[in-house]
Amino acid sequence: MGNQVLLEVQGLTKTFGSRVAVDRLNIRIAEGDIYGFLGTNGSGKTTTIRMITGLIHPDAGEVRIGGFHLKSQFKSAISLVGAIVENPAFYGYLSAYDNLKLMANLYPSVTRKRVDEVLEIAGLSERAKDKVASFSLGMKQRLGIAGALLNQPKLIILDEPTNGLDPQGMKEIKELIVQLAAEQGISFLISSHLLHDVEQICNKAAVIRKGKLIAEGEVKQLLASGKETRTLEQFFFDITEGDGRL
Amino acid sequence: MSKLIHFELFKVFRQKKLYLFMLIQIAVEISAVFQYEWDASGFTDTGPNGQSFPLLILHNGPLFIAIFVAILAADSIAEEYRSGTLKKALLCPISRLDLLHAKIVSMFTVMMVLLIFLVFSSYVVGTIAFGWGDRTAVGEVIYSFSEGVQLLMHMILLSVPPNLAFGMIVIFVALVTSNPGASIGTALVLIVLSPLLEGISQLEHLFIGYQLRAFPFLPLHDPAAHNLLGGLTVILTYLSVSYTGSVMMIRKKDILT
Repeated sequence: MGNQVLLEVQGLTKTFGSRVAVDRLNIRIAEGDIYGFLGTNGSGKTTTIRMITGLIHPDAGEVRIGGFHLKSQFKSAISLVGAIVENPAFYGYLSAYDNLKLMANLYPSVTRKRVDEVLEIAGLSERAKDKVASFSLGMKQRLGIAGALLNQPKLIILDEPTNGLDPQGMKEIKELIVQLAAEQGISFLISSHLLHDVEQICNKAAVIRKGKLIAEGEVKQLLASGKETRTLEQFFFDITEGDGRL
Repeated sequence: MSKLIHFELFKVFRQKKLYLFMLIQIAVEISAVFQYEWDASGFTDTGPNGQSFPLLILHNGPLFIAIFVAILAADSIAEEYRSGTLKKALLCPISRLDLLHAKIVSMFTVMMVLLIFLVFSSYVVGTIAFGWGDRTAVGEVIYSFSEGVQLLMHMILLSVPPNLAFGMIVIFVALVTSNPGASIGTALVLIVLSPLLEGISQLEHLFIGYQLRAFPFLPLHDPAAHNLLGGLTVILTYLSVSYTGSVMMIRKKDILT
């Protein structure tokens, strides 16, 4: 994996009322990493991702993407990112092609040809003219990834990308992620509570609990850090003291 | 910025809502043809004709455009927030302020389209129903065709500021509440509240609902310049306060859906 730091999060903190959702979080993702971001429901994964993408303003801390400061150089920083935050959202009354064409308009140099390309990558070329309202969740997720690829990002952020998908849909999304990382050198930040998936496709992982980072590192090292080699599931239960609801 | 405006307008013009509203507008005009005698009471003494019909429609239905503007404003902010599509736009390299401006320009454009549609459709419906006629008649006053068109244009132009201010208020409410129902509900309350305050003559002109109903028709009823300026001051105050509030809200708003 590359050594160039692509995403650097330092001291990120967010409170909602008296509840600390994210507490002084530090993350570093290098070029080429597929980084699994693990935690139970409500642990602060989505809030962290929303802060990394500028949707939520942090109370403290900073985010740098490709060296650009997210707060003061938002456009430069976010240009390097493609993201699906929680569920992929689309205009149901428009076709898949029109949805992507509409989004392409918001980037300075995304062409119509690129729209065709990302539809092809996501395996949706044949359904490009169909209205998104008629799509299954799996197809919407694939269209979300197509949208995230539009601006040829260096980093793709996926929040629970396999949520609600059937086993075949999950398999397709995981294969697509591995393929994009290998063929296009895209880094991924993937939040999930599906430990087996993360173990299969990620080279690095972090575990967040009650807003705090409690473990981070190479997946292989994390699993080998005990007396004997564990699965990621065993590791997760060990460090969350059995509180890791799945 | 032009790409963002295109982004916003593309969505509006691809929805059925706008065209449904245009159809309802035509239905209202056809209904007015059948109720003309009742509606025209006190409006024209010379009998109906196509030239006068747009003035009658605009005069009797000034809140029609406002209701659509409220729906559009609530849709473009609160409904997009709820469905997650607002978040999608904010993940692109655009500023939140530019997005707000694009939504305002889009709202203004659609309002103008609807006003122009209202004029043309009511000319057509009125002429088919009553014939073109040789004069534009308003009350006891008879205008030539060109004077009638000029009067209509004045009324159309004066419809813009209160409708824009009204839409801006709804955008602000939508940004605060993130709730389409609450935004449209507030708009309806503002409209419904206005006639209830008609008895309080010292205060009624301070309400946006009153200005929506009265301001466009000042050239018809009250040509005094001070009333025009007074109304304009009230409207601009609403516009600037709700715009400033909207800018502050969109800058600091956390997108949680």
